[in-house]
Amino acid sequence: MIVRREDGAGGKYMSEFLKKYVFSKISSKAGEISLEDMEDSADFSENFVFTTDSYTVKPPIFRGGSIGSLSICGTANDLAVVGAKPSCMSLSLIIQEGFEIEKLEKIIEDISRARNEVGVEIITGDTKVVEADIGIFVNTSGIGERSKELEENLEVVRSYREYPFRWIRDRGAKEEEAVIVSGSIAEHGLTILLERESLNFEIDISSDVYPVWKFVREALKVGGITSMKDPTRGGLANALNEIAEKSGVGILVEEERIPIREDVKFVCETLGLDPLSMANEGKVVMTVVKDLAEDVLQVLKKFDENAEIIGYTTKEFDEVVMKTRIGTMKVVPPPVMDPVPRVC
Amino acid sequence: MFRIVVSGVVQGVGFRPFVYRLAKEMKLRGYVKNCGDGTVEIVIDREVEKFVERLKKEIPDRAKIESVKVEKFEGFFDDFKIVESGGKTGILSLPPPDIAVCEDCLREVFDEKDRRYLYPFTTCTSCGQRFAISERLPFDRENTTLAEFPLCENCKKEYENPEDRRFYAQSIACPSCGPNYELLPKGIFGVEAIKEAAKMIDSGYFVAIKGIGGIHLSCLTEDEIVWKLRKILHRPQQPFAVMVRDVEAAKNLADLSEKEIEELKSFRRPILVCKKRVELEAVAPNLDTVGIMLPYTPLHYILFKFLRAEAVVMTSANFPGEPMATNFEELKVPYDAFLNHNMRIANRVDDSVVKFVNGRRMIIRRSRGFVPEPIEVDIKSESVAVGAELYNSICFLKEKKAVMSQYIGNTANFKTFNDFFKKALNHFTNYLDLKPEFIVADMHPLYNTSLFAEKFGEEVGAEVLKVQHHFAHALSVMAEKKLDEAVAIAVDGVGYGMDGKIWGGEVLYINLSSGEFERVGRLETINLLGGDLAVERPLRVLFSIIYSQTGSWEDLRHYEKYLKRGESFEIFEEQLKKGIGVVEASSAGRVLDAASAMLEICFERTYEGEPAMKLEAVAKESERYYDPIIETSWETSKFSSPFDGKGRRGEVKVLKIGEVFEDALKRYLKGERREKIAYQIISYLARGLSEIASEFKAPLVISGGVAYNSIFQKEIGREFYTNELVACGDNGISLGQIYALKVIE
Repeated sequence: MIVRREDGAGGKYMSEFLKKYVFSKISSKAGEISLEDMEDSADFSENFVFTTDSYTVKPPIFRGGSIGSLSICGTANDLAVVGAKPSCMSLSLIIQEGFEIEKLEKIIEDISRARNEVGVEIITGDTKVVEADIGIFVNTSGIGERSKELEENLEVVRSYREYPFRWIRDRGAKEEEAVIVSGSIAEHGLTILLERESLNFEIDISSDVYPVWKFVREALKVGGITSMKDPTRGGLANALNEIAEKSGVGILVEEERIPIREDVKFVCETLGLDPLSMANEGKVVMTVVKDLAEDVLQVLKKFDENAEIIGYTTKEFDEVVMKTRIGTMKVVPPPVMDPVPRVC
Repeated sequence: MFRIVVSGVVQGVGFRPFVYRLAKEMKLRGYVKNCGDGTVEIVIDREVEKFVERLKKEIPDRAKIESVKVEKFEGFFDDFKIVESGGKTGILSLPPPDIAVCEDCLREVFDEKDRRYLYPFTTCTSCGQRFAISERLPFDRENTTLAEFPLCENCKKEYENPEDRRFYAQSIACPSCGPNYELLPKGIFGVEAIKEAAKMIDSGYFVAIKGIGGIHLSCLTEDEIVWKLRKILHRPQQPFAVMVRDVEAAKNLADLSEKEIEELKSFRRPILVCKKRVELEAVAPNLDTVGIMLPYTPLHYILFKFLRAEAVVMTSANFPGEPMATNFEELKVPYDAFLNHNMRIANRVDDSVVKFVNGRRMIIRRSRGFVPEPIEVDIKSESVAVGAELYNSICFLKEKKAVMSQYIGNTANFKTFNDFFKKALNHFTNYLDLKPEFIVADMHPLYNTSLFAEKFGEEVGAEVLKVQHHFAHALSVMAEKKLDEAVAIAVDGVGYGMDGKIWGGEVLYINLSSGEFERVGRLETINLLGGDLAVERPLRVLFSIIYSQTGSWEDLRHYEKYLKRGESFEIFEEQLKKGIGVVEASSAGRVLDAASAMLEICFERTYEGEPAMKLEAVAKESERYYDPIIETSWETSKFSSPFDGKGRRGEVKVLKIGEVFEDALKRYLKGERREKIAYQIISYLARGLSEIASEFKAPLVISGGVAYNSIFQKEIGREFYTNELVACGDNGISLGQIYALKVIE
């Protein structure tokens, strides 16, 4: 047996793979969130959460950012979506022998800029140079701290209903809550694809890499957020499915309301790719107590006018379902890695 | 005394009244009883041999005796009686399918002196709605939606009178106690409602009509009206069914063989897809066939009494992909009037669709008139197979019988999946009191049905098994023909393969006893540019075949004008070179699609199978021209079961596609006739796959959507089995999924 590509692709195959080979041997927790929960971050004391992520993006430098900004924002965003304020990080570089110094300098510059933007300190690190043909890989781990914004949000949620968690959990949604996306989707994924494959579409597009804590904290101040994810690998489709499955609710979204640039949608369509399963690096999707959805939305709109309430959670079914532009309903399945034709 | 136990189709078909009359006539004493497990128990005091002989000989039309057991019995009776049903429910006590109105009932409906004159719900022991109104088993009135209509004195008398032909007729009704029609929004009732509906149809309006299994939308067949209907239903090209007044009217529209006329008139009254005689352009655009059916309820006959038109469009009242509406609330399509009635539909049943291919009747859609007739399979467990995705049906296994659900349709559509698939599954599971040991699903990781199977399996504590799509197709024929070994040609658009690639042009060797499941041959792999998008736009497939073969798209310049906005051959080339959004497939359906684009027949698929069907419509018999080019490849092909996702390597014969397309394109652009080339490409596929299969002595079976193609069947060039009891497209695949369990026993 060998490890397959899909075993590390997020989604269904990866969770099966992890259950079989990892969680069967290693399963532990230091707080309320365990390894097996597969959440974006896990808590290890009253007031702190911890997360780690490895970045292998090709090309390492792309429009709108680089593996440098990605590795800082990505890890910070994993902390932010459980409601923690990113505080400090580690930085490990694994560099291919022969990697150009100019590129490395650009990456380090991006790291520095992103760090300032997020407001985290990088306090430890490691560097390896290897012969393998990898370009550059980056690993960052991060610690986030309990914030007063999180406390405020939990308090507001609890004034509406029970909320048995100390952090914002992806299993926290209940029926009849609004589903909000913080801005237009699929831009990071498409940017990387077009650059990596040097496809010549006339489209002005760059990665959306961005530290979401900047607007998440404002949304938390309004309160009412019951679950949150950053729709990276597997995109919006994956994030919605995780929230639905872990929370035990169904989600009904309207295609018309999902923010996406027309040209992005068009290019995806032409290539036969589903924009709902393309990665984002500066967006969040959240469920919000219905009464507060409009208030949260208005705050988010100050940061990105494309933020939108895309649908609602429901008890009537347990799938993620999209009402299409022409009015038909279709299931949005959790993506497996490659597009798989399903039509007979 | 003697006790006789009869099994077979003996419920809801007037069997007990028949037994009663026979016993009375022979002056016998005893009783007849429905045992609830599908058998009928008869006790008589003498003349047992003569009785059984007459029982077999004079049996009612719809009834069928499978076995008769006779034994000695102790007891005394002073009369012959029908006694109450008893015992547990089993699969054998299923109601019969819905049966078209019989001649006797029709006579009454049009007899001015009869109390059922022009009454649209006239039925008797041998005809009328059955499955559609059945909520629970056994098939007794209190378990149907007619329970809401208590019998009037007259009906009660008929029901209780052994001499009456409505003696014990569960669906009995009359104008004073039974359901009736109302025309909305006008609020006209009864016969007047039907008269007005007919008038509106004749005047060019769209009238929704509630039938026994769902709601139809009806209008004239004139082009202008039908094109308008296409617009309001968002159904640009897919053919509509036409209901004709009578056989004469059918003959005016289509060329019909004796067998076809027989089929049209059968109690199942399916939609028959047959050769067009007249243009009917808007009804069935660019096709050489049209789907027609005869009236099958008293309502239809009454409607035609008032209609001037000889034929009307009769299509299900729903948007494409969604389930047919069964009541006012579900009726979402636009209409001018709605001829509604107040009998609840318990089970949605679409019209069945059949087609004669080279003289053999093939089922395209198995529903009204067929469901829930069981199919014998020699497998012991209680199980459920959830089917594939499009043209879905579910198959239930109990007591060695496979019961196929009605046609469910496109489960990729959430409404169909949630409101129809899940409900039908629930309904049948309760109906049959099924405790499934296995849940069988398709191997495709994204089918809603396959995802659902996992949850369902967990819920009911059953093991979930995933069967490869084309093995399931092959197994569906093997189940029908009770074969243990076969070599199969499984041809369709797309199914998820054991290697994670897309299959669809397969030669499979199956031996259930020795546990051999081998992919012995396949079509050359082609690249689907943009995955599912290539299915909608056949030009993308043509491009990838030609580009992969020649390394350039120079020869395709002629087709640039057919590209959609934003598409360009340059981008296609980049995509192919870099493998972005490209899926490999060995699909016969896609090859036919590509041919359809090459011959400028069809560039957009708006319904399943459209490009290939239009290709078949164009093709005319000609010389064969291309000899099969077959290569040998060494790849994963030997599997230990149809559930096996791993397998070992072996030799696989590959039928090449590229060379033929390269040459055919050149010939076409030089002016060779498309009718010829269309024929030659279909023939090439058939003969090529047949040649690969001919290396095996086992019986040849063919299945999958492409197997409906008459040229394909003919060019196989040897005897073969194909599906006759279920659809050979994906509508029949759940039977094959069930038959896969044979491996486990």
